Amino acid sequence: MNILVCISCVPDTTSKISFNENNELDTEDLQFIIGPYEDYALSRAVELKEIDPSINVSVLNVGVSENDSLLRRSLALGADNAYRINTNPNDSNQVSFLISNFLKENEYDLILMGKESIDYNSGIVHHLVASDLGYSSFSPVSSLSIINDRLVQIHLEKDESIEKIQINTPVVLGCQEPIAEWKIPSMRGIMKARTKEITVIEIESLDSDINYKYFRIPEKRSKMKYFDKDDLPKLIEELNLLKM
Amino acid sequence: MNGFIIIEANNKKIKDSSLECVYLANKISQKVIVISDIKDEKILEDLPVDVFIIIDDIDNVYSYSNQLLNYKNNFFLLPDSLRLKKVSAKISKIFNIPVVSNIIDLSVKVNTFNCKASIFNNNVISDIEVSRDGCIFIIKKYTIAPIPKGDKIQEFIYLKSENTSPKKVQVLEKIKMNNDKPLSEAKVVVSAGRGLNSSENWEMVEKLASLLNAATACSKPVSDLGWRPHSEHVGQTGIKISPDIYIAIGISGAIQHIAGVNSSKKILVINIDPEAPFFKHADYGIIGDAFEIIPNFIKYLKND
Repeated sequence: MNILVCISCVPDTTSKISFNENNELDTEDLQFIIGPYEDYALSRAVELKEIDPSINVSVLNVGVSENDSLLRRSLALGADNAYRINTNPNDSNQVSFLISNFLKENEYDLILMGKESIDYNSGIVHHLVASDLGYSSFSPVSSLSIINDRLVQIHLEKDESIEKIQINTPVVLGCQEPIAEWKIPSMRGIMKARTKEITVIEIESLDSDINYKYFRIPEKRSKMKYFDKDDLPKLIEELNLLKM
Repeated sequence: MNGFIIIEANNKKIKDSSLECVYLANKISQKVIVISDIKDEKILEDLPVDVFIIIDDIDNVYSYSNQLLNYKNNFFLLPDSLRLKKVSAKISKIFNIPVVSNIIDLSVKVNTFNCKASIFNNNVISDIEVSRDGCIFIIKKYTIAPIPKGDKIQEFIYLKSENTSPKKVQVLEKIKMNNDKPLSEAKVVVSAGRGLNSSENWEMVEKLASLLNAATACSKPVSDLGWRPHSEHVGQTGIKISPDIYIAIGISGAIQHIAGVNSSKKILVINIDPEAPFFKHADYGIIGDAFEIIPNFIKYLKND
């Protein structure tokens, strides 16, 4: 079975986000990480490979050369191949288009992504790729096991229930915890990853109809109001809680 | 240009997130057209909508492609739900138009849409211009004020499925959440963290939640410890919510937790530690012991 894990490279969850006067993300003090949801997806793919070593795990990123260190980390975690489509994508529709084109050239049974990237939070790339290719897609998926080469079993979270379902491959899944535990690369993995190659795919520049014109940081909440623990009735009145 | 809205109902009531989209469409669209698989006209007749296009199953929207393609130069407003995000991708394929998520405001000119999106876990707002004759906008919850029905004469159009594609999905088991209220739809959420010491102490949290008609939630450590199901975990890697009121009990307020709740309208933090970082992100705070405050809270709510 061939598994493709698509990763986003995003600012660390504890980063302070700011934009410079050119309306670009200020990356100076930012630490970039594999998106936490994609990290779960990758960890699960590596676990599945540990169970069945015949599984091939590839990692794909649509992004700039700075992301190669995180692709290298993915290889150290246990992925077999890494690909990067060399562009600075404008929006999730573009990312989907490029991943979908990649999948038309390369065959995979299972395509894993995070349920959303934590920068633009779109949460639709998995569905867009699947609808373009005529694959099925599910998100958020909190459990994944392989039944056989053409069948997988997942737990799909819905608003009011969790469904345990079986689906045929090829399928695109948006992953979230507790699908796996995050992994830390081993020394052996890091050494092995050094000799593995990251395949860079060059593309022609893409036009986009979606223009992120301006970014700003929303206003902070107004100053907090402290209530003494004996003032609960006042707080209940202020928040109108009896009407809930 | 005409605005198409896809709406959802829960327990024979249109979901609030769907209503918001209908109201927004009234502000920016010539005609307001709803596509839905809700077949009960009684649920729909009070809405400020010109045309209802009723289909059998919104998840199977591909089966109506040819009929839907008769409507050109349109934009779509979809409430932000797990189900409709998937539907948005199908509509994107049918009409060959892009999808933009997390929209909190939108205006329409000829072949140009100007919108605002809340991104980076609500830490950034972006002004976006979409230069197209059509686009799908996924509307973030509870951000637009209601609009009355007015004097619209409603028209109902029933579409027939063009083909019945077989369902390839085999559902083996459905595990119902013990939550009566889905977290994503709740106006009030009562959430607790490790400060509650053990899962047995959730009884008072549930009691408080039921008095407030609220959903219950928890922090990541609590779901990791198995005190509460993962489906209740709100935060960066769990569910993101934006209720009117979020009550956090015994949660210190790690930045990853804040990321999941910071679009709540009002935040009340109850914590014994005056240095808890959550107080910096709260509208209201009580410093004190949850085991003393929560029972009191329940007592006062019951008294009236």
